[in-house]
Amino acid sequence: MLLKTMLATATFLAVALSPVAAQDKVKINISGSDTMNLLTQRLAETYSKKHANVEISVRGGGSGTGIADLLNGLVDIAQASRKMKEKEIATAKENGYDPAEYVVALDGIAIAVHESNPVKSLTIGQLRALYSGAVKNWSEIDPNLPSAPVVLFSRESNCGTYDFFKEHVMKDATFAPNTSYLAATAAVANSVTKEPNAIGFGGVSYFVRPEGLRVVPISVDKDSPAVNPIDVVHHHVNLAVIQDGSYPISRPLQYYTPEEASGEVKSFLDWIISDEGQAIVLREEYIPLGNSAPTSESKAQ
Amino acid sequence: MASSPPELREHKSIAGFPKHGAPDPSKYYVDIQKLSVFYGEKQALFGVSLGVARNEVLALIGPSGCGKSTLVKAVNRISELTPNVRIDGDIRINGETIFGEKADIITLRQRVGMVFQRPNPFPKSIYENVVYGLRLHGVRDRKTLDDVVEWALRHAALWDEVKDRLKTSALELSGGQQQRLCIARAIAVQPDVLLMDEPCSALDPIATAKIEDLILELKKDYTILIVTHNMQQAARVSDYTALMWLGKLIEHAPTEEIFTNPKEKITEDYITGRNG
Amino acid sequence: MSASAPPLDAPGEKNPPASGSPSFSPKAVRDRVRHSTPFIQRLKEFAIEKLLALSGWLSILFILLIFVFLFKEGLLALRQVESLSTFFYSVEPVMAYDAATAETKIVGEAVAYKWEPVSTPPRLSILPLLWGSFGVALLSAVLSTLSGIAVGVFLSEMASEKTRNLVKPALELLVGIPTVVIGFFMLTVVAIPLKNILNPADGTSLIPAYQSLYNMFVGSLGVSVVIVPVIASLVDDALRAVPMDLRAASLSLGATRWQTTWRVVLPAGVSGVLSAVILGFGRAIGETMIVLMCAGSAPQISLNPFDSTRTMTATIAAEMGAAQQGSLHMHTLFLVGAILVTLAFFLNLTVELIANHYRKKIRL
Repeated sequence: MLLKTMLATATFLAVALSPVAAQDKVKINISGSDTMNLLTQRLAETYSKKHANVEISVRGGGSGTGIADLLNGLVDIAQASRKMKEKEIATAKENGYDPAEYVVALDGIAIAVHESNPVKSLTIGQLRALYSGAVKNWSEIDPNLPSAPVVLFSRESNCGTYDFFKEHVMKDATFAPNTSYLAATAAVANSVTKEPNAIGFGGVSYFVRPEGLRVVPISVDKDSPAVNPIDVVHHHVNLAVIQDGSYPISRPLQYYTPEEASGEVKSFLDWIISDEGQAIVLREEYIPLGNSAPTSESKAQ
Repeated sequence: MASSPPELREHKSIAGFPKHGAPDPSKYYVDIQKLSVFYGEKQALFGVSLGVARNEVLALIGPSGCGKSTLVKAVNRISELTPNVRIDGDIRINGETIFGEKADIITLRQRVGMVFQRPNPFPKSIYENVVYGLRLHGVRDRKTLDDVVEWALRHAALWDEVKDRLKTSALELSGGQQQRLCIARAIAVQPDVLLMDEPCSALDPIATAKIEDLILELKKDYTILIVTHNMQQAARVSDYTALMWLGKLIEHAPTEEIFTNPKEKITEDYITGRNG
Repeated sequence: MSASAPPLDAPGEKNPPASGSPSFSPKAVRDRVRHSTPFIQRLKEFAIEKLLALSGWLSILFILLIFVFLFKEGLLALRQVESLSTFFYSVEPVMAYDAATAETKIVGEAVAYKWEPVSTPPRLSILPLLWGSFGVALLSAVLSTLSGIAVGVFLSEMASEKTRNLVKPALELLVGIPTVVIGFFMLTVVAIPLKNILNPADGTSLIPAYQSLYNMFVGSLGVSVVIVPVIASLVDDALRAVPMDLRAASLSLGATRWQTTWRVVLPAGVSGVLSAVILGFGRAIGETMIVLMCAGSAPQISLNPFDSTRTMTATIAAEMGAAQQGSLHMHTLFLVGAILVTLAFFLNLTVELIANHYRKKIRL
């Protein structure tokens, strides 16, 4: 919250104090996914500093809002943490647009338990059981697990990680009332190391070097293989399983433009997938596309 | 004691005690011997020796700050509430020292009642004010308490004014009534000695007259030390009068002698208003 | 007997009229003072007077503005919902886990009291937040009232001047410590050992219900660290305002120090003591950082004081920064703020009423 305010103030000041007159600037409007809002703000901030003639304004509102804005010609870029739906693409065509998709980063959520917890893997269904309160004791998941009440930690409801978890894991369920909402992934990790019966989640890159806790491999269902998003031997994110989508709680984050990007928008997008842009992605706890990234640019459908 | 009905209390008469002539130290009921009191570095009393016989009234007069309040407050050891106070000398009540190692301060204060400069009833009902001391000492019997309340209030000449509203707050009484209530409260625990520290200084003349009448009544049963600024009051209520000056005793004599034929120059000047 | 004795203390004689000196009427004196005061001096006095009055009115204006703003924004939330029940409960699917398939499915519906503002639709039951705030405040009151009064009584009635001069500033320092520091201390130093003592892992548990590391009890304990000195300091002030005369009267009737405190001083200072407790309670309701940090932040209605909880204040602090401008979530947070201000208002009103009631009953 404070950080956000400071950022907003900094952006405001940067814009307000900029020596170049506003009318000389190329303006890029972005709206959409709240998950990506902070990332986009950071990217925009750094980019505008290097390119004084570009002014980028970023608004949240959710992926749906961003895509709707795009279809109504209100923005130059829609940030979306999901793919465009077929219906939306159809509407776009009706409006005379031919949206292009640019994957800019990846997002994955790691599930962490205390290092003493023997649980080997969890399915999405089991995660939902734990977090919805359908299961209150570890032994209900597996009789081999200790008979101890589950202590639940979540990120605060205003962050993208929470959104993502809710959308991909909880689906139509609500969180159990005894879920503790913490303000930062660091706080979640810290709490899990102190509570032997705890489970928590957070952005994958945060758990690269876990201490006092263990990242649990996750599978889609009982019959699928469990996948660990962390390479525990080499201490880095298991990029391959996230990039190919075999880790279930991961997703690409993308930008949509009304047409194939050109001009300043294109240079901005190119800069994002450059090493410099991807470094910011990593710093903001998202997963960079990496060397083996699939083509970062492809026509939607 | 307190738990027995108040009517049964024995009142020894000490008839034939000399009303004139020098006070006789051998008959003092309250006997103050070479009393010095220090507040920190400052000495407030300088070896004062003085006494009062049973059922007599001794008035202490003198200008402000002369030590007369300090003197009476030493008698029930209430002066020890002041931080850094130090006391030399001795006070004996009925021959027993009150400063001895085994002296029981609780018993002392039961036997030596005190009435203060300003009326200070507790913020409780009239009834509870009177029985406060008895409750402290574990008297619970309703009948005893009722009897003591009536007896004490009658003795304090307050009964007729308050008998119908014993349960109302003592703070609703007038200043004079409050002071008589404080006297009732003090005598309810059946003390032998009453200390009165300028008991009328906060009262109007009518209330003052009532208290003075009361003191004359009370001396039948109690030995009284009264501090007063009011010369006429001393003259009206006391048997003996002592003049204090800058922490020293100047003159101690029958009241009539002090006011008609003072021996000391200071006394004469004081009572005729030439100083102080 | 001595009718000839001059009435030294007769009224009027102590301050005889100063005969011979010129007589002043009060008005003449005032005029003379006024005319001798230079214009600039008078202008200065006038300006200072008006400035003070202005700042007084400004503070009242600010309070009014806060009230109006909170209520205006908060009441907008009421217009954004179809039914006021949104603020109390929602009907939620009941999930059941099937061990055979390792899947979790909906098996029914039930009324639930959920605070999940970022979900579709938003779940905005304020009941768990009210529960958390009152739970923490009541538990803190239980933990700190007795000890606060005890410390206050000790300071006022028992402690020597030396001890008092040492303890009182220490207490005031404790009140002045930023609560975030206390929260941090509870979080890092107290929470874990406390749980290990009350519910150790080896099964020799004193309190088996003590499961969450951060819970209402830890939060209340932290809040107590703040309000014990508040209560103690106020009680000390209240008891010291009881006239020495009353103590002397009690002691002179043969009461011990303790009897005097219990039977006279405390009853005489009861309004101050009650006010202290209520103000302590108000401080506990308003406390934010400590509960945000160590009460576990789980919006639930649980009778177990060792369960995590979430207060109204912590919720506002955690969510206000990120709530969408103009959203139902934002307006509901304002509504919660309005409830807090109303609570504070009524608590202070109660303190005033109590003080007035006893001021009439006990003239001190």
